[in-house]
Amino acid sequence: MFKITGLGTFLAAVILGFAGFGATSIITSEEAVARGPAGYRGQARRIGRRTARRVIRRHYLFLGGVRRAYVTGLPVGCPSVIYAGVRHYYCGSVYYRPYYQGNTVVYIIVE
Amino acid sequence: MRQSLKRVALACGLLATLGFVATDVAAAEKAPAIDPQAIKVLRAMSDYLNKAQTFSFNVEVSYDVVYGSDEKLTFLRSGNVVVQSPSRFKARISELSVSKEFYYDGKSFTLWDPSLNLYATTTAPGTIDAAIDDLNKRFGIAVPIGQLMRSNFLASVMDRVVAAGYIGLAKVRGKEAHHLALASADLDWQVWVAAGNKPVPLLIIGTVKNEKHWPQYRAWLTNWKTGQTVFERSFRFKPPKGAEKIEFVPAGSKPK
Repeated sequence: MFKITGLGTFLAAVILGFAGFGATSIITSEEAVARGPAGYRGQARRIGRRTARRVIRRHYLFLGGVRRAYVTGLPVGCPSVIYAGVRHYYCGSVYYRPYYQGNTVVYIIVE
Repeated sequence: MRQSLKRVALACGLLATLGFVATDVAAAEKAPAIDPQAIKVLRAMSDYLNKAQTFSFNVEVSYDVVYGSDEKLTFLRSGNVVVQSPSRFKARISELSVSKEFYYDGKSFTLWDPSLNLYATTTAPGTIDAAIDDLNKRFGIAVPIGQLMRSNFLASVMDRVVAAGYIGLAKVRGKEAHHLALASADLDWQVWVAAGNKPVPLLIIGTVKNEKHWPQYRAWLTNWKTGQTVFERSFRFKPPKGAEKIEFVPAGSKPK
């Protein structure tokens, strides 16, 4: 029923801000696509690798005054290691450290 | 599909005209923008929750996400909320296989994602009202259904409400309820408050006015309990086996 042409915009869409009711995103729209629902996920896959890559597109935030890149989800199957008491994930040669940003877990790239 | 969406939009439009007479200047002169009957119902609800000391409910939420120029999807989540005024709450909200649990015991706040088994803890002010504001300000945390946890629901919304109307009686899942419509600058919302001596909200619908397709947020509140015994320790997070602690990113750290 829905065309998938808008998927890119959908990925970029910020979840509704019903601030008063705390409806703001316990889950981001990117998480929604990356983690299911199954039917939608299949359709997303068929769009091809370019879109798939966009699912783990990098965002930026400041942590301790330093601009840092982060992603909202990791590819399946990245191994992990405990470093400085915190679990880090490594996908290829990139290391990620999980944080809560608002209600959502994000993975900040370790420089 | 398109047709039925149009019908929904039309219904909302009609409702807006009926409920929020303030949008029409001529009508606004005849009728007050704030209908005292609506406020009376809201005050009864607000007082009832405030006096209950402890209350809990289940919630079923559906919310719309508009993307592209003409596409709208609705996502579902559900949860459970327990509040013990003035200084404790816990909440669990799930969407798909993702859950978030919120614990606040008057001293500290913990957010836990059971599917990832990651949690973060921070100190928090001594009352629910102060904690909700503080957590949002410091870390951008949105406590689910936080508005209903506040000590004075009515006062917490009235500074933003520009119009309020009493629509009439309705039945929400078989229960008689007062149907209210309220308007603020960017959000219209409707509340169905149970009629009778237990005036709890049964349904809340928010409509974003200045976004295309008028996306809505709908929360059905069921299984209300008030005045029950809930042990203090259940508001304190105990890390389950294998849970790992991470940090919160301070809010306001998004680059412009």
